[in-house]
Amino acid sequence: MMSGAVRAEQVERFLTGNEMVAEAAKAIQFHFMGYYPITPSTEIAQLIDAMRSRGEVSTVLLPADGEHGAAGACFGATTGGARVLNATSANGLLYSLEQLPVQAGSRLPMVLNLVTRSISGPLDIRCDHSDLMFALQTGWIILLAATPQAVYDMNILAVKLGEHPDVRLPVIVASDGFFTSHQRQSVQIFKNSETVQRFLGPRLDPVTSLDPRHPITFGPYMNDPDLINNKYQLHLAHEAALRVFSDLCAEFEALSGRRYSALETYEMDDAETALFLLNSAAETAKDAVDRLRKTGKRVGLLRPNILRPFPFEELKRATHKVNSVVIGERSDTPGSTGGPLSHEVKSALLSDHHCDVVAVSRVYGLGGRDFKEEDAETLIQTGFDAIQNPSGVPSFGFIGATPGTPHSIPPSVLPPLSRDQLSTKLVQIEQTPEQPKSKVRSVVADPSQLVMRPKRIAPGHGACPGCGIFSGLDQFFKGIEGDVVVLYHTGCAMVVTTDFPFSAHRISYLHNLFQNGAPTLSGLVEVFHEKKRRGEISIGEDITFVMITGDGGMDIGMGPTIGTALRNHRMIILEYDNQGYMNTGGQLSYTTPLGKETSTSHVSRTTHGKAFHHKDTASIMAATGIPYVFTAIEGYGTDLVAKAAKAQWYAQNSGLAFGKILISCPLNWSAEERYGQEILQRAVDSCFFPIFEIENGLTTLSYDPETAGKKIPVAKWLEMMGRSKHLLKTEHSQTLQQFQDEVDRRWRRLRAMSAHPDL
Amino acid sequence: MVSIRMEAIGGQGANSAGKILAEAAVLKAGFSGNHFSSFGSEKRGAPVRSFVRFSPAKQAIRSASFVRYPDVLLVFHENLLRTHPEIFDGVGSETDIVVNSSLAPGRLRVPRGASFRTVYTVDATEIALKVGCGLNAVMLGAVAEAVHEVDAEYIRQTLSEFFAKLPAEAIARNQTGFNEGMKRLRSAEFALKQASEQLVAAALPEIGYMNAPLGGIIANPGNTVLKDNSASRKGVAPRLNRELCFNCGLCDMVCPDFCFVWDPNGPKLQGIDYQYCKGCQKCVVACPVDALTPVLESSIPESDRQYHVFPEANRDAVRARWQNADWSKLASEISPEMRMLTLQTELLDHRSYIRPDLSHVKKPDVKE
Repeated sequence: MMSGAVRAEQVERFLTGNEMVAEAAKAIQFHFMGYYPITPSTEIAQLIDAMRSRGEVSTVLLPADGEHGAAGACFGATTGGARVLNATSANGLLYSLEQLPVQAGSRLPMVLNLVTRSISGPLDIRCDHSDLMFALQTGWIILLAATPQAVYDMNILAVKLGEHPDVRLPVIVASDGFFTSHQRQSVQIFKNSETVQRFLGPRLDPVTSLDPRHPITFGPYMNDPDLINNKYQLHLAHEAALRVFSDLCAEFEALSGRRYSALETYEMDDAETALFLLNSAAETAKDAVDRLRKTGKRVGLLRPNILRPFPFEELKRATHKVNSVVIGERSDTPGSTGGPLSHEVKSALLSDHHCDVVAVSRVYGLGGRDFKEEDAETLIQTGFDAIQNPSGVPSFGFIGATPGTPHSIPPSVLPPLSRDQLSTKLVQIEQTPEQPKSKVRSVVADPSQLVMRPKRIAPGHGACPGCGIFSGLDQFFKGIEGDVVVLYHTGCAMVVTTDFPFSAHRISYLHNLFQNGAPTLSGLVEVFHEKKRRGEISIGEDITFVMITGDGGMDIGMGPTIGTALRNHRMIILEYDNQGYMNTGGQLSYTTPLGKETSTSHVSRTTHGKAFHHKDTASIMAATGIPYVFTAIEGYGTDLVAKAAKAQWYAQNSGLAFGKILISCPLNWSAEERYGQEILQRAVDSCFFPIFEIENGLTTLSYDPETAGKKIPVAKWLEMMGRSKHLLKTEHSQTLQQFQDEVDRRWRRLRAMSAHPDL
Repeated sequence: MVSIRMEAIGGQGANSAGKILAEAAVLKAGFSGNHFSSFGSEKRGAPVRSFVRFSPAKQAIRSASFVRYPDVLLVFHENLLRTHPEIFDGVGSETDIVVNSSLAPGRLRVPRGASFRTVYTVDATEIALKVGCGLNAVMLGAVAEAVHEVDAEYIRQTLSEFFAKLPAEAIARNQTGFNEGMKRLRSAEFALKQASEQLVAAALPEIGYMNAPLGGIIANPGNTVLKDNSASRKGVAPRLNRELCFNCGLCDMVCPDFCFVWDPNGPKLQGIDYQYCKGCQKCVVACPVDALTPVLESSIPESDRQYHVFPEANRDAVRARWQNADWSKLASEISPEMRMLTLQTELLDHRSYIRPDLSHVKKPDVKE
């Protein structure tokens, strides 16, 4: 008998790529997953969390404060000798990029599912391989999964390959965003997870950081002459990896009946031209190859299953007899006439001393542009043309870029808002020398007058029905006089107002990724004042700078926001808090209340929703010493309008103002759209979201539900939302009590501060 | 192989409908098949496309691309025919189309020159409202009636299993909606004289690398006013009773979609712009005097629909003005920002770069 492996029993399912990651994870039983949500990989953590709630896996899930944090959490976990999983896409990969060589250079195996997506900017959530190309330099092994089935198989292989004693490297499994991650196909999974457990064996680590009797120093300070040797070891590991991968594929085939190789060759035997493609596009192209084969065209297809190490020898063998190769790249390296793939394929061809092969590169499918069978035919035709007329076919180009209708530039639709229109005197600021805690008071016209202020955001934006963001933002802007420049963090408000070529913003607007909005705006604020000082902007000009962020941006961007606050730039930061990462499908954020159900904090008999308390962002920001901090909700009379006016005064005269407003998200709260205001009112009356101001360090409650005799238990608020009403059931009573106690504790503290002259 | 494309707005359940249909074909009928959806970020109100392919043949379906040439096109809201004409891409005389509409199939407004095999309509919005079920349950019933390859019973069963977590009444309502969708599907052979054999090809995007401004900027502030959000409503919209309204402005404070039309000369509420209203009814709850009430959208008279927040931003008018105009005369309408950022060199005008007036500038007081 050969290896002794017997075909394992399997069951047929109908699942997507992301679901297959979760199925593989269930069979592997990772110890740990650190993650941060980003489309289109987010579902993976959601699905594993749901499995956890059903008791199917015991994997610890750590919702990090960003991908950088997630990668760090995974690094730490692997030093402890654990099986570790992460999943990300696009800018998530880029934000964690510096951690990747740390992981590989430390020779700590783990698995990262990269669900490929275009990297910013401009921001695009669809598939291409621009993120994947950044991973090539990190020292990680990269496996490619072209179908949902391959996603499952490669995840299992990744664990065993990475942990192999000759390899000891972290492994990326890359599958195409949406085209594979969200595509449902007939697949097979092993009936018993023991099959996978037996195939993998236990994780073996020569050393771990959790063994005090054998102390180890991970991560030394290493200069010359040593570092080059560390990298040579890494090179040797990659050399070994290709051999180990091929052995494991044979072992896995015996178990599953599914055959993988470093380089899949399709109809290559007598091919004159070959198409080289990664992942899902290659599957689509097989249909084109079949069709052209029927018309007598000798064409074949090459699709690698492993990208690092790159299968040079396999590629040389496969292209030995062809006359041309067309390399399709789902990303571009501007200025390089072809990205890394082109150059690596071409160098393999050259090293074969077989230079009469014509190789051409074509960039396709960027930002999710669909790759159809007819596009594959176009590429194949290019290959034949290149054989006929090598000098007549450009060696590099794009397919699928469109010129647009000549001369058709849509005319401006709305005229810019004039200064007169924006200076309404509907809100005014008065000095209040008699007030002990506040220097100024705003005087606000009533709502019937405020409707006359032109809205800085135009209708036609794509927010969900009943979304609280835009009523909240408009109320805020009703309190701001004059010219405004806004910066929006990535998030719902950004996505639904700037869907190219449309913009709902009638004023100047910037976007930056949500780690980094506050520093971005602070740079602009300083340039504004410097240009004014130089006389390049006339002294009479005044602009109020406002950053708009969701609660997600205050998680991943907290550090840079605190830095900006400590520098005390003359600007406003406004956080709209809808208690979760709603732009990516309602995952928990740090402001989500304890026990609430989200797509990454499922509720069952054994799991109780979000596991830690809501973040007190206003206190964090107050601790930076900025002159003005406020909280408010949309819809509470003109309270928010008045606070906006004060924030503007402080930003003009003193420094940074921070406001946090609670707004409704009917979709992800599972609440009725029309009852937004009522839910928010109960959040305030239950003292979960007290509304107050902190001016120069002195706290004043804007409204005291206790004094007004309106204080209600948090349960009266939670019962209005489908995602929290389970907390009223007896099996969650302990969680509810913990939450009530925390809300009361914070409320008593805040009330005492409000009453104290020095707090 | 049967290829189905569903065109919808987020929240109408097209993604689930596609999953259910494909699961019925693969797991119940034993076909090979696949399904996937294309959508933006997780919003209600954004376009969603759902693609299903299945075949009684055993060979696996490999294509991971969108369904470009559908055998069946399913349209979840009649307004999409008007607001998103590109949904007809790849449709031809072999295509059946199923549209959620109260109109008879022959009265649908379809693009000039388009042809179909059979046109079906079903008033799914009304059925879903009446039964209290998901719109997608009704649409699935309709597609089960129109597509015979997969046994309707398989689809019906999969629908129940898919929503197995819902309360029993909700599952029953979905079944009722499904059955009504089957029963009330109306069909007509498509036989318009101008029909051609040509497939409809969606126009290439008007904005491309020659005329898109560099850097991805949008130098057209507030042009979302050209959009039409009416397909986001689920059949119900607020109606204003001006007799009762005393112009308190509270509706304007709570409206996320900025669709209240005020007299420019003073704070007097004139009406609602139904181009933008998504039917959330926050205004109805906020109104202190019942001047705003939720009504069936179909009952709102034409006279109430004439109010526009930006009358100058009428989409058809802007488009017509642009398309029929003499280019040289219109050039002045292009903002300088757009002109300096296009690749169309004949438009490039570096003089329009924003240059500060430096005549009075003092020298920066930096030590050299």
